[in-house]
Amino acid sequence: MITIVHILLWGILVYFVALHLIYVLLVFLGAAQVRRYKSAVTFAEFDRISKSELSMPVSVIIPGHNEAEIIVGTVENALKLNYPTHEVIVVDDGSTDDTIGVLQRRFGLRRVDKQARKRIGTKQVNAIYESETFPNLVVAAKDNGRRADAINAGSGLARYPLLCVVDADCVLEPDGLLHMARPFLVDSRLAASAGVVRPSNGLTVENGSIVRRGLPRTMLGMNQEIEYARSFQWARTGLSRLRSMLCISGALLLVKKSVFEAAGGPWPQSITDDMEFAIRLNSHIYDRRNGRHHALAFTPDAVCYTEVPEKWSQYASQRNRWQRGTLQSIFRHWRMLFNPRYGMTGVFGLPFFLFFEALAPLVELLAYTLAIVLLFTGLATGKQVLVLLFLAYITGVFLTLLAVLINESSRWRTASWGEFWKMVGAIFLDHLGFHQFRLLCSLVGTFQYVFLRRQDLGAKMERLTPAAAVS
Amino acid sequence: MDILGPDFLRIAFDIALVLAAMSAVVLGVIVLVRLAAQSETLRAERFRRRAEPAVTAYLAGRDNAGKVVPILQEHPALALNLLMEISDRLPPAERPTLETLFTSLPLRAQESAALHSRRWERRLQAAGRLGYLGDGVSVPALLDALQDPVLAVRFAAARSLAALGQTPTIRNIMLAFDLPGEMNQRRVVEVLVLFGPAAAAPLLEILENDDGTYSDNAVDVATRVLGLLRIDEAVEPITALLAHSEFRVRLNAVRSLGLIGDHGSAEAVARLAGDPAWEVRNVVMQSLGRMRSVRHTGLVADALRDNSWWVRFSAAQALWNLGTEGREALHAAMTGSPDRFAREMSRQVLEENGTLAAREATL
Repeated sequence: MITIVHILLWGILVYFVALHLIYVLLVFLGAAQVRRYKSAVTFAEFDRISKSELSMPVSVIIPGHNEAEIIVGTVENALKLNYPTHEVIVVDDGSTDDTIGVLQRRFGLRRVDKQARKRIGTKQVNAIYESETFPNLVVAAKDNGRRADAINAGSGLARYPLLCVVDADCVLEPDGLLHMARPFLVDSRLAASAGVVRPSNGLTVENGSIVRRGLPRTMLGMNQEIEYARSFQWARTGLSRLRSMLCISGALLLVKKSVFEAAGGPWPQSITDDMEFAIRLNSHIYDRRNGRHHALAFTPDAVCYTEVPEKWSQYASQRNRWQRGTLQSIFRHWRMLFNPRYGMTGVFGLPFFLFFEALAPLVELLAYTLAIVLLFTGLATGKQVLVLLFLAYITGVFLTLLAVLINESSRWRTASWGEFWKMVGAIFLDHLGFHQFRLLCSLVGTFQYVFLRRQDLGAKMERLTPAAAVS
Repeated sequence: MDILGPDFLRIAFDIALVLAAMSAVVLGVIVLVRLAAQSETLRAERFRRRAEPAVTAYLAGRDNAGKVVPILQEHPALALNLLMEISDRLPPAERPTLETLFTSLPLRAQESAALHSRRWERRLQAAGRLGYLGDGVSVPALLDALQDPVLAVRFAAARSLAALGQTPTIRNIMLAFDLPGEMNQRRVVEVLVLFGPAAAAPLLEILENDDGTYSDNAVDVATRVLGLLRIDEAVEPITALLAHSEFRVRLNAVRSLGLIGDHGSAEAVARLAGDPAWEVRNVVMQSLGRMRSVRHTGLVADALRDNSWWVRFSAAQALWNLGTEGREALHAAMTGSPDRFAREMSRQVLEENGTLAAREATL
């Protein structure tokens, strides 16, 4: 018994140290990436891209299902993006609400007999509309087939060589597309560019334009604010340096249409299609057999704001779905694990994702269980367990503060002093309940995926009222 | 917990305390960074409030340089950023007015030296700045920068040479950027277009004296730039490229002839309507539409039956651009063509342009 406890304790310790050493490495890589990016980029460059008739035109695809409350704001925002040539393609994925109706009334849509290219099979597209007032707006209504299917249908309607996928609840900064497109001009091998996602809950948007950036009002929203900051400021920035950016948010992705089609587009049966597609994109790009002619980039100053759940039940449902989606995506691409054919992605990226993301909740559960066992068997005192918990807590705080430091040093979108201290408060509170709740949701998700084979998308998130989200 | 060793807990506690102390330090650093950023922003704003009206007055001819220069020299780095911003806002013809102010900043030597920095980001910054600060003296340094291992630095140096109007360096730029790929080609074209019509002579020389010095990439770039600059003298050498064996060269030649819009070359362009590469056929249709070559209406209408979606689409758009005759051909194809794809594409383009009644469109 003692031997088993001994082995488990050492195992957890090694896991904890390895995880945090990788995190520290990612912090340094992330900070270096942001610094390098910042010193290489100039305002004039964006100005040039925005005026050049040679900038690669972009098709912005907005998939949506029952988004009547917010879709108008999102489309207005997309139409107002500062970019020389772009079209907006809204794909209504079999909505049962008045999504098409509100779009028709706001943008003066009329039905057209448009022909779509069908490189990737999708559910039936029933009608295509174009706007009389906005020549670069196309709306397609199709049978319900999940978000991935809608994106694939949108890609068939796209006229331009670059596709930008944006969620229906997202708001992009006016220059967001310019920032996303810039890496394509710097590196012609680039296949896709991913951007930063931040909660939109504290944002004030009027007629599709951001008029004020703020922070979410609830503690849960604030917690997600720091979680997103940590995830994007160093985790993904650092992982992109290691060619291991396997989790690209579906909220903001710019990809070459040719690569998108060659990779087969997102998989409609996936629980989290963005994650699955990101892994597939990596496998396509870094597969030695494909010649590795392409690359992926992370753009640390292209920001997209998305609505995060502020109700505990919705938050639990979202995290449950993410965990199931992570497991599904990894299991679907298990051949990449430790496979040198995929370079760093196979040798480091996917194993990291499996052991330190997908399986982390199980290891943490084991750690908590072990602590209880040690307490009850008298092998450890309460004080000793508290010391270990404090170590885990302060490590989390330290790493999150480093994410804030990277953001503040970059001087991009810094918050007011009041909001800054609110965020610092949220950092100290993260491991005092919020983290454990996430853990619980992930554990339930793991159980449901492994034992109950649950593959649905969970409950749809209730949107904030349009006035609070996007007006 | 002794099973992890007698000192384990003490070490864990010490590490936690160190991390706590480090967290406090990081928090302190964040606060300092914020304070520094705030004070820097305030300083920059104060400087801008003084310097910007002075520069504006200078540009309007209300003040002389002697009055503005001392203000700018108080903070040369901030002044440089401000002047670059103002310069970008001005029409190209008015930019030389700022030359006196730029040269008054004691930064040129520093930026020229920075072209040899070990950090490529600094070299990039310097290469960009010399386009504003530099004069003839900076040209050799910028020419060296065209050989930089980092492509972005090379592009910045080329843009600066264009900003300085150094037309004789076009040959060096062409040789430095002999790069494959559409994206790279677009970037080189963009740089050369900055030279304006002055770039025409050296580029025409590349097309006319095809002695093998320049690759197909360079010929492509020259063709595209001449097209974008709408240089009429380029029609003849570009037309000669329509018979080139490389499809990209034919493609860019057709595209450029379309941009120049010379009616005389329409017949030569139309001859490529049956090109084996669909990309070429696609651009042929676009160019005939752009040239308003009404005499080729029948040929363009035939392309509505092409097996490539893009060629059909461009043919339909071209017919729309050809005016009444083309629109009639579109209508005829929509109602009477035996080919389903031709009917569908014609209807789509007529609808997009709002000429079909809703009822007719849904039939």
